[in-house]
Amino acid sequence: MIEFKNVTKAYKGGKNVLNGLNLTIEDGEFVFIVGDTGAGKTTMMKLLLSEEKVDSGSLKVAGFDLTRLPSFKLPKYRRKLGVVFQDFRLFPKMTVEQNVAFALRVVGTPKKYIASKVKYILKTVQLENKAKSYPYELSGGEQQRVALARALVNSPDIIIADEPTGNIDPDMSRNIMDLLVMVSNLNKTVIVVTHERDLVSHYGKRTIILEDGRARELYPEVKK
Amino acid sequence: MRARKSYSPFYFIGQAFNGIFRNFSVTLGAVVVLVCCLMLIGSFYALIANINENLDDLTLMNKIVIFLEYDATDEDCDRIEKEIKGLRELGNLKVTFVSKEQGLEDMKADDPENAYLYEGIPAEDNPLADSFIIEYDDSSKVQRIEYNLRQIEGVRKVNSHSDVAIKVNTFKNGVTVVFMFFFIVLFAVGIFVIINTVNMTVFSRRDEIYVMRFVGAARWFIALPFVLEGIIMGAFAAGVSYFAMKWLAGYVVGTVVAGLDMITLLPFEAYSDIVLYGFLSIGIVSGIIGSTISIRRPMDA
Repeated sequence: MIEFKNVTKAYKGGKNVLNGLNLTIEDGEFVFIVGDTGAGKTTMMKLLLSEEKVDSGSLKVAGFDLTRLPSFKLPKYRRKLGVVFQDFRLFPKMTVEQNVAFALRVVGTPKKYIASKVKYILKTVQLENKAKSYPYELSGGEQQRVALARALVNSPDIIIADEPTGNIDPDMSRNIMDLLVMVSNLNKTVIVVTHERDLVSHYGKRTIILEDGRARELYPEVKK
Repeated sequence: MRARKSYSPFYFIGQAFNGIFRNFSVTLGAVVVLVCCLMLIGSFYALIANINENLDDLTLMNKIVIFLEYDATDEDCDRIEKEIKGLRELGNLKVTFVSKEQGLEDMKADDPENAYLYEGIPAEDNPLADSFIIEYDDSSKVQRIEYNLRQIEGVRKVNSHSDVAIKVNTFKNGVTVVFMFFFIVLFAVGIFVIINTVNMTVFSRRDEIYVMRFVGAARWFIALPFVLEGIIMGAFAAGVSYFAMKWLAGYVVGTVVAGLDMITLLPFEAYSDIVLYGFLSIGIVSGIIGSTISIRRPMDA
C-alpha cells in the first residue's frame, strides 16, 4: 500500500509544490497520475523513489516509512520498485538481454538464475526474438518494452512509469499500456504518470489529478 | 525461499580496470602527479632522517661534563654520583666517572704529539680534578639538567653545550613542522588529483549509476569499483615512487656526497621500510578518500 498523509514539499526559496497531499493506493491497483506542468507530478515521483524527503506529513510505501528511511535501507526499499523512465535509459553498448540482465546482476542475483529470468521476462514483453539486438536496432516502442522488462525482472511489488509513452508513437503507446495493465493483473501496483488524457480515458482506470499540490480523484468514462 | 546474493570479485576488479583504461591519459597524468607528491614527501623524510643522524653524530650535543672540587674524596664522588642518578625526572641519564688519573691518561691519548709534557707528573701534583660525564637523551631538558647539577655540593664547574643543543633542537622542530606542512599539502594534492580522475569515470558511467540506484543496487556495490580504481592508482604510484626513490637515494649517496667527508648519509636501506609502507599507506588512503568523495554525490543525487 502507498499512503501519502498531509504531505507537503517545497524546494529552497520556492512555494509548496505539494500542499497537504492525501492519497492512498492499494496493493495491485492501477493508477494514472495526471496534472499540468508544475502541478507536483515530478515531485511526487521523487518522493516515491525516495530521491527527496517530505517536509511534513508522512509517506509510507510497501511497509517502509519514507519520512524516516535511513540511507542504508534505501536499496532494500528500491528493490520493491520497478522504474520505467521516459527516456528508457538503456545502455547502447549492451544487447537487449544484457540490459535486462544488468538489473539482476547489480542486486547480486546468482549467475545460474539470470539467463532463465531474462528469457522469461523478454517473452512476457514479446521481445524474445530481439534478445541479441542492440537498442539502436529497435523502435522506440521496443526500447520502452526493454526498459519495462528491466523494471520487471527483479519482481518488484510496485511499477512506477514516468511518462512511459512520451517518446513513442500512439500505436506503440497502447501496446506499452496494455503490457502495464497486464502487469497490474499480476497483483502488482502500477503507477503511470502521464499528460496524455486520451490514453487515460481509453483505459478507464483510477486517475488522480494533481492540482496545486493536492490530489483530486477522477474516474473517466471508458471510450469504446 | 530467496536465493543467496552472489557477487563476483572479478566484476569489481574488471570495472576498476575498465575505469582506468577508459580514461587512460587522465589516469596516467594523475599517477605522475601522485608519484611527484610521494617523491617529495619521501625526499623530505630522507632529509629529516639524515639531519637527525648527522646531529646525533655530534656526541657533544648530548653530554655534560662536571668537574668536582680538587680535594674531593672517594665518599664525595659516591655521594655526587648517587645524587646525579637521582635526577630521574630529567630523562634517562647515563653517568660515567672519570678519575683525575684517568683524565690525565685521556689527555695524553688525545694529544699524542705533546704526550711527553705530561710524563713524570707525580700523582699528588696532578692538575686535573675528578669529573663525571653525564649523557642525556632528552635535549629539551638540558637547561634543567644543567641547573640541577650546579646545585650539587662539591661540583666546581659544569661544562655543557646547552645553547647549541637548544638551537639544534629548535632547528629539528622547525624542520619537522615544515615537513608536516608539506606532507599535508601534498597529501591534499594527491586526494584532489584522484577526485578529478575518478570523477571522469563516474561521469562516463553516470547512466549505469543512475539505473543501479533505482533497481536497488547496494551503495557499496555501486561505490566499490570506483574505490578500487582509486586504490589501484594510489598503490601503483606508491610502487613507482618507491623504486624511483631507491634509485635517487643511491645516486645521491654514491655520487653526489661521496666526496664530502663532513656529511654522513644514511643508506636507503636504513629507511626503506618506512618509505615503502608510508608510500603505500599514503597512496591507498588518498585513493580511498578521493574516490569516496567522487562517488558520494552521484549516489546521493
